[in-house]
Amino acid sequence: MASSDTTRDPAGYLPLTPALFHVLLSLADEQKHGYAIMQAVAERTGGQVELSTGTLYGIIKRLLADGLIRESALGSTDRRRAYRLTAFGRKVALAEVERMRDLVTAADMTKLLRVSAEV
Amino acid sequence: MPGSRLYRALLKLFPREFRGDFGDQMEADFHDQREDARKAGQRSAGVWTRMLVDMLQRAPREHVDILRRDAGYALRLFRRRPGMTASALLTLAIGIGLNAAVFSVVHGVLWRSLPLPHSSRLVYLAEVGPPPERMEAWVSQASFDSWAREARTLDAIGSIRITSATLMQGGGAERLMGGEVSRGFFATLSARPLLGRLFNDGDFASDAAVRVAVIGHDLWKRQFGGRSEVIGERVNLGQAGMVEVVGVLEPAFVFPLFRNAAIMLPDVPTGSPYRSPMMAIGRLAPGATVRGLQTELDLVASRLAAAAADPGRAPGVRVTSLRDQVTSGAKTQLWFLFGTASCVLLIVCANVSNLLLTHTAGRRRELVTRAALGASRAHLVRQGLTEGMVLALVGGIAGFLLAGWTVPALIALAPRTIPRLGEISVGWPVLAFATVTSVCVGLTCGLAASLTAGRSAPGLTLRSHRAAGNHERSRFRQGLIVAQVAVALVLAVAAGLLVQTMRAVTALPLGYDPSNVISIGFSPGELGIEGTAAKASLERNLIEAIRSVEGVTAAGVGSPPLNRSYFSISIAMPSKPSEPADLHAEFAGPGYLEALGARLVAGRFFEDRDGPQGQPAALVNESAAKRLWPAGAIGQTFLHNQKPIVIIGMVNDVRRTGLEAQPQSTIYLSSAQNANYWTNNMLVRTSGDPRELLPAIRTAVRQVDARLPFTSVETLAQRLDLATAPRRFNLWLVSLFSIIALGLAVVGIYGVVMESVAQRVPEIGVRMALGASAAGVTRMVLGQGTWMIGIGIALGMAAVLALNGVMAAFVFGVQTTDPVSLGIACAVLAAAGLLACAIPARRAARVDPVVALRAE
Repeated sequence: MASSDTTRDPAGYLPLTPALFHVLLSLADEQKHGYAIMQAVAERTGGQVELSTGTLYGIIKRLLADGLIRESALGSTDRRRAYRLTAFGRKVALAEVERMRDLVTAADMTKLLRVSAEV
Repeated sequence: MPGSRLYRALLKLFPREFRGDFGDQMEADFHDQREDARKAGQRSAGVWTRMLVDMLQRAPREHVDILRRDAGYALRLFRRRPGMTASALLTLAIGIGLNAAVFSVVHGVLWRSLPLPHSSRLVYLAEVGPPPERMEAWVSQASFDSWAREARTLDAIGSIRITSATLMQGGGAERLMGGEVSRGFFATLSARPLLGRLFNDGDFASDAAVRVAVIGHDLWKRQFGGRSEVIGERVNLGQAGMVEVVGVLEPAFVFPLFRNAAIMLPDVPTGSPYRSPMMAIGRLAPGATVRGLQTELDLVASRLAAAAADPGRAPGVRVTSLRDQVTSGAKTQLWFLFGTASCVLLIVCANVSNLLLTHTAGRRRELVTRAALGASRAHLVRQGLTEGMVLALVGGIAGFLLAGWTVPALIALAPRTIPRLGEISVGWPVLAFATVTSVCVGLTCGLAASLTAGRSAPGLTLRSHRAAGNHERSRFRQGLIVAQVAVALVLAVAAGLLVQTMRAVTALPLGYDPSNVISIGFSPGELGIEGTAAKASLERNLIEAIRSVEGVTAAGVGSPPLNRSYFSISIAMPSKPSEPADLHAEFAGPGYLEALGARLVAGRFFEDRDGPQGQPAALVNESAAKRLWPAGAIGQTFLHNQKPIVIIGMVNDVRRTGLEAQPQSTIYLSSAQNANYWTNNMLVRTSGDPRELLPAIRTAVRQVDARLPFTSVETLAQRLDLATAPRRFNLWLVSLFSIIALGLAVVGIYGVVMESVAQRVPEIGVRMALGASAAGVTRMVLGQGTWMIGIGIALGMAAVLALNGVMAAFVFGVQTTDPVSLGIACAVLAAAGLLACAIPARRAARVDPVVALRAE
């Protein structure tokens, strides 16, 4: 399904939805199974982004189909499957970070942030 | 744990595929969530609620996601097979489009509410005669009054008598149709004035100082230039006197049973028992039903009957919804057309299913691969359904557009006998119909194709060329072809019978010659003519003036044929004055029968001497002569109103009342000898096109009396045309449907036989290598087609015989089992079907055994 990573452009997947981005982030350091992802996201966002099981597995389905994550043989039990970021998934997450950084830089050049800081 | 059981049940909301991939993990996660909540001392209800909301939100999305993926897959497939896709779409567009077009007519005419407020509560009230005929009739004042007095389930009741008047305006005269309406008429229909007012109680007083009128919007625009000062103006209605216009009706107001009523007058009671009957309408109380009112009025009628002198002949009552009354004449015809259109849709379904099957057959390897990769049968069926749906919906959109384009043509073709043609439109209901039809067709075709394919899939392996499922599939496809042939035969027989009917109707002996005859109505009421002599002299002068026009070969006073209504009189033999006989009667002047083109069998036609001073004279037709004077009618005398009348001539039987009604015993009385009965019509026969002489005829009439307006002007050819219009409409549509059906069936047969030949190329190669001749192979292929067509024709015949009763209502002068129609239909289908097999047969005969075997 996923063709070789070198031929695909990460920019084609941007922008990512916040929930999807957080799932990628939570897998950046280590593989996790579903419930651990939910907990990590909730923790990282201070409860702002709370993934429910249905939403989470909808996202996982998409990420798997697009080859951004894959199931990990390590750490899997009978019932639990763990997921880890693929190299391409890492590229996509990084590209999203770049994109957001560009946005912030662009905003920096305007009065927007200064004005809001004054306020 | 009971919780996880419930959770597993809820997981069923998700697509199976998703559930298979993630169900276990979701369940484990949910379990962990609950555990954590318990440890944290939270209530589990919160976890459950969140989970439930999440599921209800997510599950539909997952379904849509899969649908979108399947649809995208289907679209890609279709793009790869443009030929198949185009022919399927075209077929679907025609099938759905035709049905949507016919539906829009059925909906607009039969189902749409009448354009009146509270229209669903409006009812039509009629009197019915004594059994067994229980003939429906307009209402007498006595019946109307009793209903108005006693009916509790009616909110309002009103009546209208048809009348006519001549509006003398600006030096000209215009003949108007009008209605004398009761006090409750406008209230029943919730009519409102655009200007001025409607009638009040004072207007109905018999000693009212001025007569008042309310005029329709069209008349106001046409004759009064849409001026608002018209309110309060006095206008001259000729013989009806001067009336004051008190109101103008809203443009939207129309009484659907009497659309051309241009002027409304109050129906002032006269106390006379001899008033013309009227149409009665009512508005049901909220919650009341037609049936309830019927029961109530039946009681009223039976009470009146018990008090009547002759209870057996007292009228009954029939209540129908106003809409049903308006549309009753067109109902069976429209349902019939709808039925034939749905036959076309059945054939379309069969054809598209077949196309999809060919398509799936071509993808066998792909399906097997997918099955091997774990796609379940349900998955393959779902994919097939999506393909069918995508095709049908796109085809449905095209069909809807096609309907929008054909409906105006359909309306233009439709006979004027169908009411409410102006109210037909291609709107939301038609779109809804097209959508529902598309979905049904898509499901049927997709299911038919994928179930057969799905069933065969597990039996297939990647290596096998000829698989077990193949046989089953071709059986199914042959079944579809048989069904198509059967339905096409039903339509072909219907078309054949309608052609025969049309031939029978046009070949009917009219008894007169309708070419070059024009019927002209006139209105002498304004001239203030009284008495037999004055009437006779006006009629004589008029006819003489017209006869003097160059090109007129005959002219006379009398009514046009195909009039539907007729006049009936009682006559008696002088020897048996107490045994009256009823006959149809016509009041005619000299020249009338000649202008009509009736044939004189014996005696003479009317002449000028049969005037007021002459001896009362009559002609009879052959039926009357045979019935009443078998020994010879000429010179015989009969009594009418105790007055002796002598028979001076006998003419042939003429179809007067209706084209398809047998001529009745008829007596022609001299118009000049009857002061009370005004025919107000004449027939003029000309040597060329009568319409070209109309200006000259007008000039001639104006010289007799400039105030005499013409009412209706129509050639007999036009009247004949109108009389055959409904049948012609049926014939056109059903022929069109049957041609489409035949074409689709032929395409279907061709496709199936062609595919079967393609599959059997190796087998044919072997046969030929073993010595089978090309002719033998051709025969084999044709034989296969002949079987399908034969069974289809046999089933179609059975259907034709079963539908005998339905068809009988639409044929005339031909048996529904007419061997000629049946034979021609079978022959045409068989020939077209075999022709469709001939091309594949030729291809089979040309198979090169060497090439075929090498490929194997």
